[in-house]
Amino acid sequence: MKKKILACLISQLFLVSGSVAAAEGDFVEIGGRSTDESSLNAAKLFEYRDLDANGIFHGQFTGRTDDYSVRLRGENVFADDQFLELVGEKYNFLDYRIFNNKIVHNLSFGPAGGLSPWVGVGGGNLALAVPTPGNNPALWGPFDHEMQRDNWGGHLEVSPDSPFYIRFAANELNTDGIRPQGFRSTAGFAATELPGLVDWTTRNWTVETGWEATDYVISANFTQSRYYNNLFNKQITWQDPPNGTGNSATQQPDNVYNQFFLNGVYRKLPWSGALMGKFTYAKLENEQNTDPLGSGIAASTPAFSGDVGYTDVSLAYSAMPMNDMDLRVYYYYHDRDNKSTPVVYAGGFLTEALSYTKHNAGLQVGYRLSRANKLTGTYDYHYVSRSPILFYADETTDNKLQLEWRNTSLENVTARLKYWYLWRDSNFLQDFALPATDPEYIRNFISSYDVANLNQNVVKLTLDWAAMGNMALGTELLYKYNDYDDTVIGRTSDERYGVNLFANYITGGGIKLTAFADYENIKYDSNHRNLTSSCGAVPNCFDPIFGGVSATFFNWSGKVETDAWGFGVGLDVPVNERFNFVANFLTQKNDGEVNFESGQTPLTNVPIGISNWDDYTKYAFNLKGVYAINKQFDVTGGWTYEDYKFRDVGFDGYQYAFGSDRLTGAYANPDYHVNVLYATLKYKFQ
Amino acid sequence: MPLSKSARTGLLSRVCAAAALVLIPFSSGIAQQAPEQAEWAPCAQCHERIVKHFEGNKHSVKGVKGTPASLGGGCGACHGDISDHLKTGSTDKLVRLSDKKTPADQRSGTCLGCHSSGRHLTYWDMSKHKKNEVACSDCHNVHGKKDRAEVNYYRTTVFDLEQEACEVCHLQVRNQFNKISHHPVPEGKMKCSDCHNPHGTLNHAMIKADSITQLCTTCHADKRGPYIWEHPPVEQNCLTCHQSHGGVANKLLTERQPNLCEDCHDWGRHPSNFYDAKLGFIPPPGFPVSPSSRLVARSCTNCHSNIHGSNAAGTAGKRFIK
Repeated sequence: MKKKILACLISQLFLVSGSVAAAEGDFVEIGGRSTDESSLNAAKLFEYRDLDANGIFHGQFTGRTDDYSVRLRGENVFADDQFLELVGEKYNFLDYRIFNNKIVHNLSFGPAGGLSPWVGVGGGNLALAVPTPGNNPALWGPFDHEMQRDNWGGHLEVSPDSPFYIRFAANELNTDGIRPQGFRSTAGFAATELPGLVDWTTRNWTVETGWEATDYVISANFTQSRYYNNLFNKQITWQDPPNGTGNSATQQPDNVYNQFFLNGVYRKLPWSGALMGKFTYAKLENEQNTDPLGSGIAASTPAFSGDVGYTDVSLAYSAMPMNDMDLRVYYYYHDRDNKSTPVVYAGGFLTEALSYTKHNAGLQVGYRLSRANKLTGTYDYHYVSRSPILFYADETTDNKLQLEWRNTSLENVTARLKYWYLWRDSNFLQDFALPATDPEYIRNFISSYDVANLNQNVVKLTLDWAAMGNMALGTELLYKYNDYDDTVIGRTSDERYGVNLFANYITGGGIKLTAFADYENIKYDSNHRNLTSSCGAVPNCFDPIFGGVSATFFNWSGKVETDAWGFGVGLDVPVNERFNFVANFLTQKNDGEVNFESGQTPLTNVPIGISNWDDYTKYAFNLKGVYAINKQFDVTGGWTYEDYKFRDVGFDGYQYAFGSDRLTGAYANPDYHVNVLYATLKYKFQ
Repeated sequence: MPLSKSARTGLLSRVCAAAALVLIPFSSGIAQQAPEQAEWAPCAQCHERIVKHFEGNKHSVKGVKGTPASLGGGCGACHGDISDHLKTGSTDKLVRLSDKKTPADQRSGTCLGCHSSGRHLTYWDMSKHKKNEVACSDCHNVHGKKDRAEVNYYRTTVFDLEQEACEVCHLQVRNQFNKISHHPVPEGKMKCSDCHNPHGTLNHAMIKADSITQLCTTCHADKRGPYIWEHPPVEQNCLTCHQSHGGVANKLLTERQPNLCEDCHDWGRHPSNFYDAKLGFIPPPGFPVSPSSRLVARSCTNCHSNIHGSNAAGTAGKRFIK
C-alpha cells in the first residue's frame, strides 16, 4: 500500500503543477532488449542487472518556474533494478525528494545453480522431501539464490529564506530472498549449506536542524534505525538428509540504533582559521534469549540485553599562518562501550563483550617552496585500548609519518609523490605460564594481523598531464609493504604494487578516444603450525619455535600471490550531425596461486600448490549507434557481448554432495557468455 | 489466478509511476526567462550548447536567491569581466573555471563566494580534496560537458554515474570497481557519495560515519548485532577482512578463504592444517578425489556462516557455527 501511495503522489504532484515545462536533457525512452545467454548458472551475469526485463523504459522530466522546480526520473521502470526519483524545490523555502531504488543481487540460478533436498525453501523450516532424496542431487529440487533490496524513502527540508533549516528524512529498506547459509549439522559434523531465508526490514528516520551562516554553521541531528529480521524466532531449522535429524541455527537479531550528533564550524579565527567540531552519541540495543535454539545448554542468565554505546568527539583546526603555509591539527575520540549482558555457559564458555577507546591526533603542515613546489608533512598518532581478551591485544599504538611533494613545474603536468611510514606496537595478553604441552599455548604465538606489530611502507606517485585542452593522461603507481615482523604464527607480510593508467583524447572533429590499463600484484605470506589435540611423544608440541616436529606437529608456510590486469578502450565518433557511433572493449583477468612449504617429519603429505585461485577472465565488446531522426526523436541500437570464465580450486568440478557434506550450488558454475541486442526510441523535450 | 496483495500493490505502483511519466509531457506553460531576453544571450551566439545546458540548471533561475541570474551579471557573474571577450574574443580577463592553469583556490573561490555558507561545506577546510588542490569545477561541471568516450560494461541504467567524476583521479579505485567482486557502483545502483563526502568530513577517507563499522551497517543493518558472541575484528573494522571497493575474492574479501581466516586462527583442530590442491573437487593427477569442505565452495563459511556474530548457546555460538 505504501508503494501505491508514493507512486500516486508522484503522479499528483505533477498533475497539479501545471505551470512547469520540460527542459534541456528531458526525455522519455522506450525500447526492447533481447538477451541470449549461454551458461549453467547465469547469476553472475545477472548479479546486479535485470537483463530479463525485455522492455526498456527510462525517462526524465524537469519543470521549472521562477519559484519552483521539479524533476522526475525513472530508470528501468518496472524492472527488478528500477530507480524512481522525484525531487522538487520551492525556491528559498523548501525542497523534497522521494525515491525508490531496487537492487537485485543474484547469486545462483539455472540448471546448475541452486539445488536442495528440502521442501519449504523460502521459509524458515526446511523439511526433507518424501521420499528422502538423501545425498543424491539428481533428486534435489531447484531454487534461486537471489536477494532483492527495495528501498523507498525521501526527505523534506524547510529553509524559509534564512540561515535556519530543518530537515526530515525517512526510508524503508526491505530485503527479501534466499542466500547461502552454511552451518554444521549434528550428524557427522557435516558442513550443511542451506537456502537461507532473507526477510529483513530496516526503517530509518532522521530529523536535523541547524543554522547556516557565512562565518559559522551549526546543526543537530537525531537518527533512529530499526532493523527487523522477520524470520520467526530468528532461527532456521532443517532436517539432515541422511537420517532426518533435526537441526537449527540462529539468524541475525533485531536491533534498534539511535544516534544524536551536534556539529559545526566557526571560520573567523586567526590565520584565516576554521575550527570544526562534532560530537556524536549513539546506542545500539536489542533483547534476546540466551538459548534461542533450545539446546538445553545451561546459561548464567536466561536473557541477553544487547547494549552498546558509541561516543565520538572530533575537533579540527585549519589555518594559513603564512601565505605559503597551511596547517591542520586534529583530534578524534571514539569509544565503544559494550554493556551487553555477560553470559557464562556450561563448560566455562564465557562471552567476551568488546569495548574499546580510540584516540587519534595529528598535525599536518603544508609549505609552498615555490610556485610549482609544495611539501606537506603529516604526523598521525593513533592509540586504541580494548577490554582484555586473552591472546588478543589490549593496547595498540600506531605512529605514522607522511611526506608529500607536489610539483607543477612542467607545463600542464601535476605530479604528486607521497611516502609514509607507519609503525605499530601492540600489547598482546599472553599466558606463557601455560606448559608448551597445553593446546592453548600455541595462541601465545598467534598475532591477528589487524593488531599485529607492523612496519608499513607506502609509496604513491600520481601524474596528471592535461595537454592542449584535448588530451589527458593520468598515471597512478602504488607500492605498499606491510611487514609483521614480530609475528610467529599468522600473516607475516603482505605486499602490493599497482600501475593504473588513463588516457583521453578528443580530435578536432569531436571524436573521443578513452582508454585505461591496470595491473596489480598482491602477495600474502603466512606461517602456521599443524597441530593435533595432544602431544604424544612430541616434546613441547605447541611451541612453534622450540617444539618438536613429527608427522602431525610441524610448521608450514603459505604464499598467496595474485596478478590482476585490466584494460579498456572506448571510441565515440560523431559520424555526422545525425549519427553517433560508440564502440568499446574491456577485459579483466586475474591469475592467483598458492604455494606451500611444509616441515612435516617424515614428509608423508607433500603439499601441492594451487594454481587456480580466484582465476578469471572477463571481456566485453559494446557497439552502439544513436541516430537523430529529428530534434525530438533519437533511435538507438546496440549490441553487447560478454564472456566470463572462472577457475578456482573450490569451484572447478563442483559437487553438491560429497562425504557427509552438502552444498546448494551457491556461486557454482558461473561461466557465461551472452549477446544482448537492444533498441530504443527516445523522445527529447526541446 | 488472483493477484496477491504484494503483487497488487506492485502493479498499482507501477501503473501510477507510468502515468506520471506519460502525463508529464503534456503539462504546459512556463514562467522562466526567455533565452533571448537573458543576460547570457550574447554568449549563446558562440557557446550555444554551453548556454543551453546552463539554462537547464538552477544557476539560470532569477527566483533563487544568489544565483548568477538573480545577481544580474550573466556569465560574468562567474567568469569575471567578459566585456573584452565579447568585443575582441580575448580570454585574458576571463576567469576560466575549467582551466587547470588557474590555481585551484582561485577557481574554487569563485564558487565559494556564494556557496561557502552551506552546511555541505562545513568540513571543506579539512577535506583531502582541498588539501590536494582539487577545485569545485574539477568535479562539478556547470555546463554539463561530458568529454569522454564510454568505457564500461553494459549497464541497464542510463543516467550519468557519479563514479565517472571520481574515477578521473582515483584510478586505483576505478580498477577495484571493475574487479569481479564489487559493490554495484559501476551498475549505477550505488554511488561514491553513499559512503564518502567529497566535501570533507572529520574522519579518515572522508567517510560519512564516525567509524567504518557504523558506516557499513548503515546499509548492512543485519550485521549490527549486538550479538551474544562477537567476533572482535568485526566490531572494530570491516576492512580487516573486506575490500570496500572491490577485489578478486568473493564477498569483497581481501583474500580468499581459508587463507584469510588462517592468518589469525591456528588451533589444535582444522584451522592449523594446510588446504592444498589435493583437497579440491578435482585433485591433481595421481591423487584420489577427496574434497574438503574447509577449502571448496565458501570454505570456512560453509560451516561458520554466522561469522559476524552468533546468538547460539555455548560453543556452537562461540565458533559461529549456529
